[in-house]
This record gives sequence, C-alpha cells and structure tokens, in this order.
Amino acid sequence: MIVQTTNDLVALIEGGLAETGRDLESSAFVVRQEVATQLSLLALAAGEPGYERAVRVAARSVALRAGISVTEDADAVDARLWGIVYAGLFFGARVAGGKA
Amino acid sequence: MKQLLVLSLALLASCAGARARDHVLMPLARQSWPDVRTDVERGVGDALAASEFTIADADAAIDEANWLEETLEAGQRLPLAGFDFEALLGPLAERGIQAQLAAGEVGPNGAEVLRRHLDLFRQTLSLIADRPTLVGTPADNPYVKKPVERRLEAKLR
Repeated sequence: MIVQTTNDLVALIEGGLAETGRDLESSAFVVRQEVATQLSLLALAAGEPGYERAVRVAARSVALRAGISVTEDADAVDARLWGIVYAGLFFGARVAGGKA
Repeated sequence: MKQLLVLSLALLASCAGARARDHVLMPLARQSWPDVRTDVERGVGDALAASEFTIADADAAIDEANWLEETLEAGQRLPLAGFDFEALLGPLAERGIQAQLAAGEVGPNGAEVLRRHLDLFRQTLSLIADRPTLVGTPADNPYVKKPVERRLEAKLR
C-alpha cells in the first residue's frame, strides 16, 4: 500500500514538474525515500492528535526535497503540486493506517 | 599550468557551491523555517511556564528567531556562517516538539515528523553556513555578529 502510494505520488510530482520542463530537485530516489518514510510515520500518526499539522509539515519536507515551492506566492504549477503532495500524504497515510 | 588548473577547478567548485546555496539551499531553509519557528516559540513558552526562562531570556530567543528569519528572507548567506543554531534555537525547537507531545497536541509519530523536519532545517542551515566564501573565515567576517553583540549594539544606539 505504502509502496504503491509512494510510486503514484512521485510519478504525479515528476509529471507535474515535467509540464514546466523541470526535474525533481533531489534525485528520484531521495524523494521516493522521503515520501515512503513520511507515509509510514503518518500511517501510524493517523488518528493521533495533531495529525493535520504533521501532514502539513511532512508535505512541506517532501515538496521542498522535490523542488516545489511552498510559499504563498508560489506559481500555479507549484501550488497544484503542493496540493497533490498534501492530499496524497493525508489520504494515503489514512488508508495505509486503516483510518480511512 | 597544473596549479592553474587546480585553481580553476577550485573556483568552479566554489561558484557551483555558492549557486547551490543561494538558489537551492537558501529557499529550502527559508521555506522550512516557519514550521521550525512554531516549535521554537512553543519551546520558549514552555521554558517560561517552567520558570526556566525570564522574560528577558524569552525576548532574546525571539530576537534571535527574528534575526534568523530576516536573514533567510534577505537571502544573506554570509551572516549565517557565524550563526550557531544549536546554541539556543535548536534546543528550543526540540523542547517545543516535546512540549506539544507532552500536552497531547501531537502524537508520538506526529512528533517524529516534526523532528525530521527540524533535522532537514538543521542540515540545510549547516550546508549554507559551510564555507560561505572562497577566502576568509567566519572569524574575520565583518558581517558576522553574535546575537549578544547585536543586542548590545541595539541598546547602545
């Protein structure tokens, strides 16, 4: 479950970045590893207090490693990718943690 | 000729490093800072509540956080060379995470996510601070002032 969600999420990020001619800031391996680690932690954190903040912080870590800007003035592509990363982690971890 | 080649490579490497620090690491630190700051402020509040900090200590910590934020916003790499995050803000951020955990505001796994993010910020900051210029050291860097020196200057002004 986590492996599948990780692969899907990294593919979505890579696809989104490729639309604007960009690559992942770190290597795909690093980003994939970060997504998998964060998903594993968040799957355990789902149902704990502070889950939303944990997801936001985790999504920021993933996005920054991938080279996605997370500032309020980020461009449309980055804003969309940020949304994908956040939602992917939020729901992916809940499903993986059996809290969907 | 060989010396010239070595010097050119060193120059190239230093330029690439500086570019990476300005265009990759600085934005990374700037954008990961807000979450770290939240934890720092929580740590300050916790230290105050435990009477381990006076109001002056809390002000000093917030001053330092403000200075770091301004420096990151301005993209100034040089002043960060002499900045020791672990002297005050790092331990406060850790304390803030621990306080959130103790208060049940975040669970143990969520706290681990916050710690990983703090580590990312730490690593980024130390990479930015590493060898900021080809020549010179933090000690003779005129831009580097310790927080206590800055506060003293502000008082004297």
